[in-house]
Amino acid sequence: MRIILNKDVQIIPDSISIDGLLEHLNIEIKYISIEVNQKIVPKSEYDTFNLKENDNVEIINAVGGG
Amino acid sequence: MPKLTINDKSYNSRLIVGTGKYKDLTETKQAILNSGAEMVTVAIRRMNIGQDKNLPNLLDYLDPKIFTILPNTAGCYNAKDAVRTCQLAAEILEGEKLVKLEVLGDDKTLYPNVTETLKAAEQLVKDDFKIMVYTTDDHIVAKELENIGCISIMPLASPIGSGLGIQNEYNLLTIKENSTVPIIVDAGVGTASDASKVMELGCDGVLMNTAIACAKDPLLMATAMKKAVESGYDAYRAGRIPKKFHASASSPKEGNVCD
Repeated sequence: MRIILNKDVQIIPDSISIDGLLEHLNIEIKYISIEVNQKIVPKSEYDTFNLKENDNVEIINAVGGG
Repeated sequence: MPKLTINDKSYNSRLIVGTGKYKDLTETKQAILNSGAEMVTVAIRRMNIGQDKNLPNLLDYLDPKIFTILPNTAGCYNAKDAVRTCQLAAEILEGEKLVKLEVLGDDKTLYPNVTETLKAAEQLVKDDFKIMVYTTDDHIVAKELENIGCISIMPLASPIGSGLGIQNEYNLLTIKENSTVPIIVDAGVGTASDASKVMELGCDGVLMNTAIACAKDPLLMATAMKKAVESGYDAYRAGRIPKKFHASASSPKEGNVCD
């Protein structure tokens, strides 16, 4: 299915959980924050939160800054 | 040296440093170690999707168990975006709610948008965030931010990254005189003497990034800044002599062999 991930279109497996998405993208669940349709999903819900077609997903982390 | 207390935690160092603009993460970490800083700022950004999983993350280099991580809202131009960024930061940092609030006005000066800063601060206090706030060197605004509940006021010395040093020391003195929370001068420091001067004025600390990261030798500058902050603070506590228009001889007049 199609989602928007960090502003780009991504095709990912259907009905995948956030945990599944992170595995699919090879991203470690550490020091990240995820929003789906502008709402933060707590890490405790990553395994049960299933994504839907056209969801807008943002994966955020900390980078160097002043 | 008296410790700096912020959000119920005591710090030996009164220097807070940013983590931006370094060549790589190794240099970032070494500069921070040289600076002696125990609190470091980070920015909150979209992840670069597709990066190698084995590439180190900034927070792998700067362990939040060792350093106090102060996420900023740099790049936010309104209260709504700043509040959202703080919420994202808290989720990244396992619920930690200490943040550096900065809401900018324009790209050219990076001057704070005070109206939006006040609005964001009000919302974030309601959401139980502990706010260290970047603002102008205006003591009226500083007091309003303190009254809202910000735990530290961080007036600029001059525009972010400008290296112009303190442009109006009397404004900083007035802010310090009127406040009951730590005053950390944030932005505009160019070299060690600027940092010393901030501390000699009686401010509680200094926050800097560009002055270290963009120096020809960032690691040496980090060491210089550590010494400058310590020296300036010691000089403030020691109490400088009053300035006099005329000279005052250091050697005794009595017993002068030249008369």
